[in-house]
Amino acid sequence: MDSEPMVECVGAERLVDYFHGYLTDAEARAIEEHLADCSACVDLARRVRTVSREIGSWTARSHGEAYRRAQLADAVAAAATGVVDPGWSDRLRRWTDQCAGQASAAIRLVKDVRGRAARLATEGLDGLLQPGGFGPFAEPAAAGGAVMTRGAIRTRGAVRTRGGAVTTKAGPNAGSLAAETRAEGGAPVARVAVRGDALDVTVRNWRSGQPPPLVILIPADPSAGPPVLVELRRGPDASELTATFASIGSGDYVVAIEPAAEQGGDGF
Amino acid sequence: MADQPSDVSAGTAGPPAAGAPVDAGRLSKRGRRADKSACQACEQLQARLDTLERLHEKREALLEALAGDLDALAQRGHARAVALVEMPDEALALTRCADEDCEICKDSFNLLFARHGRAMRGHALARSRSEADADEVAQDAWLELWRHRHQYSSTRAVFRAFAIHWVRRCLVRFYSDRKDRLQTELCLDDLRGDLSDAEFEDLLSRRSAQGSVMASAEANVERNARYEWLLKELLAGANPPHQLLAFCFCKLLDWKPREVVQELSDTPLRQLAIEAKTGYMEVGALPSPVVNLHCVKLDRRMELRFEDAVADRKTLETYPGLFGRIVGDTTFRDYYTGSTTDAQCANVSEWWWAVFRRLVAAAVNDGGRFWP
Repeated sequence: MDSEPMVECVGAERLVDYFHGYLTDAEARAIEEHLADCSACVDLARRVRTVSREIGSWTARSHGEAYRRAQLADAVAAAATGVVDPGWSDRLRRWTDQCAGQASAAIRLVKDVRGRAARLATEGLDGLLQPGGFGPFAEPAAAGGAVMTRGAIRTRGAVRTRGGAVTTKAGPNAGSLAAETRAEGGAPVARVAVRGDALDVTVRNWRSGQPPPLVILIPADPSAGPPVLVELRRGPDASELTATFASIGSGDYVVAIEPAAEQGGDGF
Repeated sequence: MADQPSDVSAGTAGPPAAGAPVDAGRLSKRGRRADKSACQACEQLQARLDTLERLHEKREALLEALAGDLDALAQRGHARAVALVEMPDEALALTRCADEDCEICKDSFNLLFARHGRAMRGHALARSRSEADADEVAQDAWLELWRHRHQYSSTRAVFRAFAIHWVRRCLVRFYSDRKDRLQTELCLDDLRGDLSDAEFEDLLSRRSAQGSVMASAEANVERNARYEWLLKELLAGANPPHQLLAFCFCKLLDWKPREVVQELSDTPLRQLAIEAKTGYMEVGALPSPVVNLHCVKLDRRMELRFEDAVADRKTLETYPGLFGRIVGDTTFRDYYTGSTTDAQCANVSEWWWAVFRRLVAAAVNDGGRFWP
């Protein structure tokens, strides 16, 4: 034995070091031998371990994901309470119960204070995506206006961010940009396009036999108004489902498409 | 020799069987008489033990301080025990002959258990849901360890590491078998560092909870609430500003300490606070009110003198030269205690780790409103 047995109880900070392997072998052993005889320290150790893991996973990105998922779950639950259509009500309830905080596809829209310059971004939204959904939106493409930032890795002063983003400046062609999910093997494809004050959502290759998905537009600032819920409908081109959100003012929004039903299940 | 030892009932060694005298003289450095009746495998063991003893000469002083229960064995007149008590763990672990009745192997087993049984149980207790779980895991771990002792190599790790490894493996199996997904994931995290990537992937495929479980709406809301609590605790708390900003960059924004040293050492903390805040919002795609709400106190601290902004006595003692300086005007370089890049990287790592420890302690002591 290469250390004296530890007699005194162990503090939380010392236990953090222990769980993360920052103690010498002898120190760790002394703590473990103490834990074998001290139920109070065992209780504390269990709490430290759980909390430590939670804080260990804390990053700006994970906070953003948790925030978005909580925001989406809240918005869907709130929308479900105000819906009259029983079909929609059932689907929203299932969205809440089975896929809370998830979507087939999601993208962020930011419009400046004048509501003219717009930005579509995918940063921080990966955590919202339902496995087997549409997948992430590809890097957005500006149809007009000047591209201010784009690329997989962006440097802004000391801060690096990852993810596609395109911004259009205010100008004659301002506010015209679109993003589309990557399509693979005939899977459904979602497209989001900013057109002036309006936002168009289009889905192609939607699975036959399933009702068109719901789309929800969620303002980041709750004081900007409640979430807006629409159902995609057959457009002029019968192969496409479309919906439009009109008169979108300045602000920060998330657009989320209802999770797809499980194949063969009793989904939406 | 039996694969599974019979006596693993308590946290202390059972007395060695009063069998025929063994080659204590050859096993012990005290020169006891050799015993011709020892099995052939044990004869072969001798050569390995001799080598090991030479390797472990420097541990003589430590071996003298073995626990009282082990000394008691020797005092009861068991020459073999005396010999074995003096053996380092690594030598005892090499007792693996094929003879099921080999007394040397049995005693080695008991001694190793006496040395490590309590720590193994303590390790399991800290990582299990109950004492009953921990006792079952610790016992399983000991049996598995003994069954696999031929895999132990003293050149790779000390015996304690080998013992703890088996506790970790048994914890994963125990909670995986019970479909306890959270505990399984926690225990897999502990085990990850013990295994190669291939071994870990193999274990994951067999032991990880199957399928993905959608987080409930409540879980999403709770996790977000915990992050907001942490953000408030971090930004409005009393962490020394340079440590807090190191935490922001290294932990929250995923910078490497070396990048911090190379790129941020000469930027005033006031500017770093703005960059950290902006980065947090951008990387997390978070709306500004979520972050700005908690930044007021930090912004104020940036305009205070060092001695007014810092409450931590140790930090004040470490940097007497900063008294009178406005915190926002200082840079990371003012706080480095090392002159080389490596030393400064170590400084940055220590800073953010100090904040991490305080946050965990604060969360644990919070009273359970947001924390399990």
